[in-house]
Amino acid sequence: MEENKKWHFRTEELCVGYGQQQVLAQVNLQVEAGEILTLIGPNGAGKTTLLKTMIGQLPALEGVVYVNQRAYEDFSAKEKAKETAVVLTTPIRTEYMTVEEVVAMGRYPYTGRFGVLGSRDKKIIEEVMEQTHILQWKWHNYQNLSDGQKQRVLLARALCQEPKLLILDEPTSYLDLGYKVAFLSLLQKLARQKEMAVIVSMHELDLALRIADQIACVYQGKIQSFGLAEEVCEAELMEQCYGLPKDSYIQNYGTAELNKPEGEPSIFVFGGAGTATPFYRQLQRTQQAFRTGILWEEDLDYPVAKALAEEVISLPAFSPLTEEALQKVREVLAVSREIYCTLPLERYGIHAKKIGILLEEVERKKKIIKVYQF
Amino acid sequence: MRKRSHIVIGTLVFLCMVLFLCNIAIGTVYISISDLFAMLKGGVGLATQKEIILEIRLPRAIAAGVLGGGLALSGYLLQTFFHNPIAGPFVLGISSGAKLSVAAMLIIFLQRGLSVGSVGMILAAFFGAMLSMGIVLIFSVFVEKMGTLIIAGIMISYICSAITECMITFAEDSNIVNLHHWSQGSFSGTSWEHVRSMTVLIGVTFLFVIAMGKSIAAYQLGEGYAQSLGLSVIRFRVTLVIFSSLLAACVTAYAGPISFVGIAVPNVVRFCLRSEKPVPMMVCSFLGGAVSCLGCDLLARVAFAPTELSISTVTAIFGAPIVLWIMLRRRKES
Repeated sequence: MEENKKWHFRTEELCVGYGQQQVLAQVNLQVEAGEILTLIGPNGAGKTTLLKTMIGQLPALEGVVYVNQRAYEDFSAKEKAKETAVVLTTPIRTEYMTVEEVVAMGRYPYTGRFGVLGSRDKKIIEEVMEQTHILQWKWHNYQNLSDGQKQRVLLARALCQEPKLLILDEPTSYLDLGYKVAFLSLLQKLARQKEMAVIVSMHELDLALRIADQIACVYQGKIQSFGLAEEVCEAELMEQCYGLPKDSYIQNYGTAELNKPEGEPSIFVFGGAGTATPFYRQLQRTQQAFRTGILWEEDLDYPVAKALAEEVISLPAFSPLTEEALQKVREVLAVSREIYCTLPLERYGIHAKKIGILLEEVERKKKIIKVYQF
Repeated sequence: MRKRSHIVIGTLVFLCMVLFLCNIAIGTVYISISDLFAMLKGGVGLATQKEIILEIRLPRAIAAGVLGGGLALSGYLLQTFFHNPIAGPFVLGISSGAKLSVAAMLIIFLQRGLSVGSVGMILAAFFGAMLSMGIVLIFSVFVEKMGTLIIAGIMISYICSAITECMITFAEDSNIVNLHHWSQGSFSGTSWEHVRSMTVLIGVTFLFVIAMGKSIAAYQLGEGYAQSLGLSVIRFRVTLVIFSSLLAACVTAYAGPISFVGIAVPNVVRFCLRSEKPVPMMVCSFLGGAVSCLGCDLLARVAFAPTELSISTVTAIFGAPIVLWIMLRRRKES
């Protein structure tokens, strides 16, 4: 740990749980102002418990939470409210509250005994609604908004507290893709702009990879891994943590293919340049085992091929096509009943020509079915 | 927005005044409004009329207004507490708990020839109310579903009522006639001393509760959010329970258990206001409770005169359909 760095939020040997039951132990996490820390991990791993402890709604079993270099438990309730704001998963059940009223509740720690809003409060409410693009719904009934709109209102409410630390529990879970992307883009922009430290738990690994400056993976009672997104979300840990079949996790995209078709592969697919991915999935849907090649390891088709094909004949990235690989394909083709080609050879360069020669050679004995997806 | 709440408050104040005057004027002896004003101004008029007004109808009307307001306010607080519009002091068994403990105390004291003052009655009622509330709260820890909780409340209420009836049936006859009447819910026989103490108690509680408006607004967002805003949720909940029980206890001590006002009024008021801001809600619930109890008491006295109905009979006729309407609306939304 870098002691000299001024972390805005830091936990030290934090141990969380309910009463006697310990859920997570030895949690050491840090976030800087303006940075986003994302918590990932399977259902029931303890993400929400950890978040609740971080915001002081659950007492820590052991260890300390530091906010702004100060032990968080020493903050008064009001100081906490001015420092930290939350977006929770529990829905707000109101019948007639307007969007503006919900947002204005964020000024609670700043208003007086009777909660009357001053001119500064009103200005901030207006500003925040502008920044979160909800000003046009100001007078709408909160309850009539869509989930995506509601979530933005809740973000605005949290921002009204002028927090330096913002904690969100699965804020994107019920949103459609458009709202997910819009919400996270907004969150990222506001985190930088307002220099807030943000801690957000999510299930969408693909989006976590995009938004997180740092990721912590919560699994089996501890933080399995904490660091840069690419380091944490490596295939082996993700497959283990989410119980995925081997090779099904596609690291760069934070997503996974469905199960690999079983059985003796009698199909061979000539793929490459991303042309074969839809066809691989089509074979997966009908549960037909297949082999594929020749793929270079940087090819767009490669991760899906690794996940779904029984065997992938591949070459290291940027290496020339070798006779050895071609020979291997010949052997495989000899035992294949159906041969498909998704690669429009005329569109690709020198390597394709060699494959074209191979295809012509094969075509003299067997039929090649051309499936062009593009 | 603001206009709507002004209209609602204005209407309620107007209705309150009209019904108040009607309650004083109408009865087995009709006293015209002009006579009434003359009497209040200069004190001219028949002695019997004056006595009817000053000693019977006026305290009774004030009691109906104040207690009705207190009851509706208690209902509002309980609905806030449980985040559920079908909560109220009667359905949760709080009124019946208060009734049981007041009845028990009255019987014990009367048998020994002791008299019971307002303070004693209210203390007994508060004790009973807190006891029922405690049982309901213990249930609420184990039962997540609000419907089940309400059923628990209704069962508690039946048990308490049954015990009360038992005690009344087997107690010495002479003093019990009034008690029986009271245990059904009635504003009759309210004395000025009672009016004074109930007004002070409910008035003070009202002010305290209005001062809690800010916290109530935060609590409406849910406990997690309320806590993150700096509200001490546990302390707030305890205060809410105490105030709502106190209000319900006070009403029960003086007028017996009154059904439906506590549930129905805050809901109707919320619907009219189209808002959930706590302060307007509480002011309007109070006024609405006063209006409904004044109206229902008038009907109870006048409908089958000279026979008087119990107040709950009348409130049930109006209140029960409203509760059904609330449930239908909720079903549609969820």
